[in-house]
Order: sequence, then C-alpha cells, then structure tokens
Amino acid sequence: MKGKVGLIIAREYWTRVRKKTFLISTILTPLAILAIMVVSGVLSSGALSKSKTYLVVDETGVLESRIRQSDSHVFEFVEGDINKAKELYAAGGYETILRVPAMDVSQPITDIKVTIIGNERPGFGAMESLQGRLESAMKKYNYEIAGVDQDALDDLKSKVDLTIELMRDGGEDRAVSNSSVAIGSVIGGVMGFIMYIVLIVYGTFVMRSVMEEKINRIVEVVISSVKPFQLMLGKIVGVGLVGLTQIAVWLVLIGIGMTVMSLFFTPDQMPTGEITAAMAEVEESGFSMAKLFTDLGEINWLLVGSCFIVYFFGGYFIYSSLFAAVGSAIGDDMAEGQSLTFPIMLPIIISFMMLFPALEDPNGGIAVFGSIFPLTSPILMPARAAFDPPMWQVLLSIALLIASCAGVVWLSGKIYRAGILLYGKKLSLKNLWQIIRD
Amino acid sequence: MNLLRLDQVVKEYKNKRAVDSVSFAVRTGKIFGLLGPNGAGKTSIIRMITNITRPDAGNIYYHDEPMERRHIENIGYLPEERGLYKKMKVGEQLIYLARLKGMDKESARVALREQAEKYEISSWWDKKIEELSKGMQQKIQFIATVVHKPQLLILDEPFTGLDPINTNLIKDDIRQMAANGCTIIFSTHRMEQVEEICEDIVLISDGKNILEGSVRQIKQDLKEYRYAFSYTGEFQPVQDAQLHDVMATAGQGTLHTTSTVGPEYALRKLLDAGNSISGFNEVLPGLNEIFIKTVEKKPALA
Repeated sequence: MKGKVGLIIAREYWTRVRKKTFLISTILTPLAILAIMVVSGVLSSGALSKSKTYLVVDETGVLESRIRQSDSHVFEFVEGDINKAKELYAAGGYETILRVPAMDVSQPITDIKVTIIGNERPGFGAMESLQGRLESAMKKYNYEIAGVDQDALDDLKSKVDLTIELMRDGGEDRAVSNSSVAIGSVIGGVMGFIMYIVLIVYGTFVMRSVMEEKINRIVEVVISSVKPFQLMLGKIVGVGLVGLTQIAVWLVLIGIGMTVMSLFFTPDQMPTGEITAAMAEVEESGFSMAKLFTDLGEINWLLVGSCFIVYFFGGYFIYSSLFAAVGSAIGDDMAEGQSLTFPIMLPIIISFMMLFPALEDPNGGIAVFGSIFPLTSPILMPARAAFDPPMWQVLLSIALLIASCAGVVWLSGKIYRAGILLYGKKLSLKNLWQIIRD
Repeated sequence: MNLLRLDQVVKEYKNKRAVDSVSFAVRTGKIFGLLGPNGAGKTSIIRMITNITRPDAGNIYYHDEPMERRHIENIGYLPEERGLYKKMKVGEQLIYLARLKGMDKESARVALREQAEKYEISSWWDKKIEELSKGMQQKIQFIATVVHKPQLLILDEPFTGLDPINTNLIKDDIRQMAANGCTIIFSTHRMEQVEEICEDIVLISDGKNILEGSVRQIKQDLKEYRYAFSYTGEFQPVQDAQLHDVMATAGQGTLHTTSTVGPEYALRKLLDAGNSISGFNEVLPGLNEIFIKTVEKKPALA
C-alpha cells in the first residue's frame, strides 16, 4: 500500500515539474525579476542618465564656492543678469536657469526663494536633488557667518547604541543590538510572506488537482485501486514536493545571482557620485557591512530555520488538506467554489494582516496569540522566530500545530472521500455535518 | 462455485436505503448481469464490492472469505463515471493505472504493449489523451481495466459511446475472458446486450433484489405459454377451451394456451382442425419485457 502512495506522489510530482509552466514560473520568473532589478538599479544609479548643466544667476554671490558640483549636476554661474542667462539658455545645452535673488548676506540665509526658469518643467527627482544641493550650500554659508566650525560640530555628534539584555537567557551572553531587531523584522516579514504565498499557491494547486480528477471522472478508477485517503495524501505530498523543489531552485538561483552580481559590481566599478555619497551617509549613521554580519550572527538561525521547516509542513498540511476537501466538494461548479474557498482563505489572509502588527510588537498580544493559534501560527511563528520568542510558546505552538494538523487531515479525508463521488449534488453544510459524524 | 456472494447487504445514505438487504451470488467464470433501472442502487452495490464504500450491514464474500482490501487487486472495475487524465500520454497513463493495481513497471509495459497491439492503438502510445476521440478513450479505459488480468471484472455500462465495431471487439473480448475463467459482472439497463452475453442475472429495483437466476430459467419461469406458427393455405379456426387469443393472417399466427397444456397439445389442435402447419415454436418473453413488467409490478410485491 505504501508503494501506491509513492506512485501517486511520483505522478503528481513529475506531471507538474515537467510542465512548461513550471519551468517558466521557477526559472524564468526569478530571472526576469533579477533582470528588472539590475536594470532599475542601473537606471536609478544615474549611470545612464546624462549629466545636467544648470545656469545659475546668483545675486547673493554665496553659492559658487559652496555648491557641490558633480558629474551629473554641473552648475555654471552666469556673469551678468537674468537676460544674459536667458540668451545663453536659448543657445541650448542647459537644463534650466536657477535664479537666486539678492539678499542681505550679512545675516545667515534662513529663508530664500529660488526660481527655476526654463522651457520644460523639471521632474520631481531633479527638483529634490536641486533643493538638497542648494540647502546644503546655504547651510555651509550660514555656519561660516555664525562662526560655527563644521569639524568641531561633527566631533560633538553623539551616537547612542541600544543593546537589549534578556534576563531569562542569562544576561550579557545573549545581548542583542538594536539593529538586529530591525534585521529580525525583515527576516520575519520575509518568512511570513513566503509562508503566506506557499499556503495560498500550493493549497490552490492541491484543490485544482482534486477538482481535475473529479471533473475528468478518473477518480473512481483510481480509488478502486487505492484508498481515497491515500490518493489525497499522495496528492498533497506530491504538490508539496513541487513547492520545495521550486523554493530550492530559487535559493540556488539567488545564490548564483548574488555571486554574479558581486563579480560584476565590484566597488570600484560601482557607479560613482550619488551612490558613494549615499553610502557614506549611511555609514555615518552607524551602519556598516561588518556590523550587518555581526547582527545577522546574533539571529538564532537554528530556531528560524527549524521553525520555517516545521511550520512549512504543518501549515501546508493543514491548509492543503482543507483545500482538497473543498475541491472534492465543489466538483464542476467553479462559481460555487469561490464561496467555499473563502472560509479557508480567510484565516490565511487574517494571519497575513496580523503579520505587521506582530513584527512591530513581537511580544504583544497579537503576536503571542497569532503564533500559538494553529490556523495563524504557520505564518506568524516563523515571522516571530527571529525575535527569539519564549521557548514554552514555541513548544505549545508546535504541539497545537501537530495536533490540529492530524485532526484537520483526518477530517478533510472524510469529506474528500464522500465529496469525490458526489456528482451533480451540492455538498451543503448539513451534508458535511452528516459526513463528519459518520 | 461462487466467486462472490452478497449476504443481506445494506447501504444507507441519509434517510434513504440505497441498497436494502440485497443477497445474490456470482458463479466463477460466468457473465453475470446486474440489472436495474436508473437509480436502483446498482452503482452503490458495485462500490461496495470494489471496497470504495463499506456496507452498513450484511457481508460480502470473495472466494468464501469476507471481502477485504487486499482482494481488490484481483478486481478490474470500469465505472460508469469514467475518465482519464487528459494531459497525460496514453502509455504513461496505462502504466500508472496498471501499477496502481499492483503490477510492476516492466510486466505492465509488456502486457500493455500486447493489449495495444490487439486494439490497434500502438500508434497512440505517446499521444496525450485529450488528442484522442471519445471512442478511442473508451478503448484505453477498457485496456486499463483488464490489463492486470483480474479474476473479477466489473463493467458498468461498458458500451456507452462505442461504435458497433468496437462494441463487438470488446464483447468478444469479454466472452473470451469468461471462457478463460474470468468472472464478469455486467451492469446495465440495456437488455438486448444482457440477453446476448449474460448467463445469470439479478434485477435490482429500488434497492431491492426482485429477480434472480439464470437467464434461461427466468424466461421459463415467466413464460406466458405463447406460441408462434406458420401455415399454408386457408386458416381453419380452432375452438378449444385450452387455447385462446388465436390469431392468424397471411400465413403467420400466434396463440396462447392455459398453463396446464404443452406445445404438443396446441400443435395437435391446429393440425386436427385441418391446418397445414409449416412451422411451430414457443415464444419466450424477452428480458426487456420481463424487466419492464417486473419493475412495474414491484409496488404489488412490496
């Protein structure tokens, strides 16, 4: 009998994996996403955007020595009035004219109105970066007027590092820095999101597969050889393996992608200018690659990884068997299916909605309840794992998960067994109750 | 010897007795007709025999042992609601279904290649099911049902959708298998097919067994003492207390007798009246007639 479940698993697995749609969704989709990321990265890095030259009529006279010039933003200061600038502009080659009105420059310039003159309306990004450059040039000037030494000011900057010490884990050894909390949120969010997608996508696959067999009328042929429960189980496991294969392929592709990226985009080949400046600013705020790695090391990867695996299987079995039961009850009527799948989709969607409040407050009521309650825990516990939840909660949650997994699979098996042989009849809630009681 | 025996089998679906204390036996190596109008409970009975569902009461015996799950590898079942995986290739699908019946991959391949030759479908081996016509799909379903050489073959309306040529091909195959010792349960409401191939029948109506036995015996039991004759010359009327409804036109005639006299009596009376009789035979009721009469009479029985 075991061999027969194996046959069913193999068929479910191979017919899916050999399909063109599987190849497309597994290999081409991530490649496409990667390509989009590379292209948009290159585009936004400004490497492809041409350098822009601005004509500046500066009646204050403070900007020329203080504004930051770069390859992408060239400021040409006009000797003369606005009419001279307009003449130059008409000759072509300039983005716009910036007119900085005359002011009393003996005082710091705190409020100034700069006019952009040109034939075309500049984009939002261009305005932002112009404003930034103008403001920082003005600030520089103001510091000079006020006699503030920029370097001295920098030296006075204070940096606070928040570190968390958990008493229950024996203090200092398990100290956690605040940036690792941020990383925990990101990892938790990603885990929760992956679970959400897995449950919906593969659950629906199982449901469609059940419906297909019922509509094709092959199901009675098959269950004259194997038990309906074996067929359902084989289907769920087979589709689940397809999911694991897909995730594994993606992980490999991500690995390859990262390697390739690091080969092509070594730091000195990085588009200079904006990015390096941006990087410098981030470094200033206390973030560094080295720190990222120590923070990543502080995450309890054993817990995160094993949580993901346990809840992947538990959640998948609970929801896919429910989807199988619904698929068997629907039969040929897709429209009716919508109303039957909704009650199953609902807890998945609610879990997903609970994900962000739970990440915000990983030990709050929503997070604790959601990560223990078996219909929401498959999404919320992997998300919470990066925050090192109390062990008793993890164990309670896993125990409930396993118990309800067994219960739901058993119940779904009963509904499935009755549903697949019902043609033309709707499986009403009353019938459902009858079946469960039998 | 009986291959299969049902003893007081009951199946209930919410408030309705789909199968109501049905008992019958199927003799080894015979073609057995499971007859009844639509909704009589035939499919419910078959699903219990094939272990898809369990009886709520009563027992099913296979080779005089209580029917168990392990017996189903000896059964081939062609359900009325049947189909195939549309996207799978013919060969793959047949091998898959054969392996579900417990065959190993290699012997399944050999046996299927043989069947494919016989049914002239070898050229479809690598085609997808959805590329085939309905009749071709029926052939493939039949092959899938018999490939593991079952001891018991259950066919639920096997000829629907088949053209006469393929119907005959499969009919011959059924007879051949029965001759080789395979027991066949043939479920249908098409009486002319039953008359042609079944030896024994059971008639189910409203979940109950209302008629059972060999086709020949049933016809004898339910005969109406009707005879047909042919004659030459002018018909000479017969007057006799035992004969009635004598009708004759253009050389052909029919008559009924009471149940107390036999064909010799009727023939003698015809000859005694001075008729020149060129043919005389008993007319037995067709199964179709029996079916309709028995099913309609049922309220009186109940």
